[in-house]
Amino acid sequence: MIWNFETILLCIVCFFGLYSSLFFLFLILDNKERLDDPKPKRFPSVTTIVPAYNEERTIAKTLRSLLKLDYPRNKLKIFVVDDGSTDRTYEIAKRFENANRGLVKVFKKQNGGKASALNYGIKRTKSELIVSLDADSFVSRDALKRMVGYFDDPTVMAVTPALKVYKPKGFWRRIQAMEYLLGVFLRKAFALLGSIHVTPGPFSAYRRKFFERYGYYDEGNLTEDIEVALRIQAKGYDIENSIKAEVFTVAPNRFLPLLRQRLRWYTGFIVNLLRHRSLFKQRNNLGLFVLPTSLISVGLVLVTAGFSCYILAKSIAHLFRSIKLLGFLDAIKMLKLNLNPFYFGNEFIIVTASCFVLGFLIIYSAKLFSRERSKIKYSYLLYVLIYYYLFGFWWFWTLINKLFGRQIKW
Amino acid sequence: MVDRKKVILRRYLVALVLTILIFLIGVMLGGGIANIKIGKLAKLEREMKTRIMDLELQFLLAEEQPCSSELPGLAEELYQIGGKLNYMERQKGMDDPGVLELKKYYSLLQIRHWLFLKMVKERCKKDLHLILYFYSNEPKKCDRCGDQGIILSYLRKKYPNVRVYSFDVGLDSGAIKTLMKNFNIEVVPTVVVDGKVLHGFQKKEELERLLQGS
Repeated sequence: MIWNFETILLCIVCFFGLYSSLFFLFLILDNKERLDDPKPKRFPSVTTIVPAYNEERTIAKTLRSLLKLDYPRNKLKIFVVDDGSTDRTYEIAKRFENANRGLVKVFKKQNGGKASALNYGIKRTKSELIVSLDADSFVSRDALKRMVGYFDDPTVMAVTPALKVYKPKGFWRRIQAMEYLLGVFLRKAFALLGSIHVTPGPFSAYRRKFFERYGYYDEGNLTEDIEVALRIQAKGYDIENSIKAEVFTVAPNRFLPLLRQRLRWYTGFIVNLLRHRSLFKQRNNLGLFVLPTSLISVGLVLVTAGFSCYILAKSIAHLFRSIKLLGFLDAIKMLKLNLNPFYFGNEFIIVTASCFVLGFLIIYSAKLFSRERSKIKYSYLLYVLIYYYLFGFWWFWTLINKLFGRQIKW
Repeated sequence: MVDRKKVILRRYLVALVLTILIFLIGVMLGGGIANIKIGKLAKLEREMKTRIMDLELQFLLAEEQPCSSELPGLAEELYQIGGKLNYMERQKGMDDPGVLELKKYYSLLQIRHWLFLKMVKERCKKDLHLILYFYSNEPKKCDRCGDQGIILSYLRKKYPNVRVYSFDVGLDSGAIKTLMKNFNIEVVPTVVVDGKVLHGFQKKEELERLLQGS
């Protein structure tokens, strides 16, 4: 074996990938009894806040899914906070208010961003729990009932659901569906380690008293959901997860909107992690393992994706060289794909293959435990082939933007 | 109430031990596959030796009409072995003793095939062009060898009556050294077209002119 940059990198990536996959798989399989949601001893009062800015297309469906929630009616309130929409969002929401007096309440305020809309709602309720729900997301009937049981533990300040992609059709959504499914798995694993560090916008539940005691959503923040999760961790509280409480969100279906979303998420992640960097000093699973691991994996993906681009650039340079030497047509004629199995794989082929198999097992168990119905075979293949580079590119773009000080807007 | 955050060392260690185990077994198996490939290549070369010898002897033994209208074969098979050897060289490194051994053997097979075709060409007046190509794999010693290689593979694909035999001048082989002495090879790349020695990089057009002119 030759020890050059390529083989050393491959070695590190394979080892790291194997270790983290095995660790999380064992963790989940070892704690199967904790995958079931605890039966709630009582039903605390809940206010669901839907911050909405120009969401006329999805708000009705979002509200209908909330109205179908299986939860005692006298314990549930649904607030829509129209954040200065210029479309028909307010009108549509108002219709729901009129039809469901006492249950749905619609507010209108000047535009100030999602965090400000959420805070507006939180300050107007006395409910024990606050649940945020983006106006482009829908909940399953039993989601809330599955989640509230975790609040019987007084150290739990927030509970996250199993977030999935709504109608994962088309190239971009299929890839994201796999990513979200992996997220479903990881979030449960992180919960078992007391290390959840993101409470996603769609349908995360919080104790209202946390906001009162430690401050509301940070209104200037790019990713207020990451900030609040890190803050809960920094204060020493826990965040739980229900792997069976399904919530569906409309994912971007084109390249650019997806890139913009990731730019915001990843920049927000860095900014908030820096703000709460004291978390790294905590001698627990989050500070010693989960946060370092996520940073290392981003680093490794960046280096590997960069290196693959370098290899690709080298082959393209070789092609140009051939064109220069032979002329365009003759150079193209010389190109051929060699499918002889002799030319396939290297010393790491078995290790790489085990990583892929473990990855599939992880996604498969996520599907199994979260009662996902869609088929995953081909999407996983697509995911394996493309996602690594996409993820690398998103992070690369984020860092470039950060380095050159470009402003990321909501 | 569970203490979720507490680090349970056993969890981390079990995964670590298993990772090391899978990793070591995987790399060992992967190395095994590479060795199987080397073994396969060695077998191919041995078979090739027998086949070339067979061809030579057929030619020498045939008393009547040794010159058939077809061009003598095995050239394509030789190229294929060469291609696989190149691949293994990139995988296992230029200094890998197994690869070096196979490469030496391959060079000898090439010389033998070349000598045989030279004889056929002379006796049967065949329209054959035999090209010897001397190169070095070390980019420091030869920055244009890659380009020359591209041009020569193109030529042998384009002209069915062109045979290219390539020799790494860094190989410690007496036969190659003698060959180099015979043609006064001092620089790489050097291309020898039908006995005519061309020092330094040769353009596609120049080589084509030579092949078509003679």
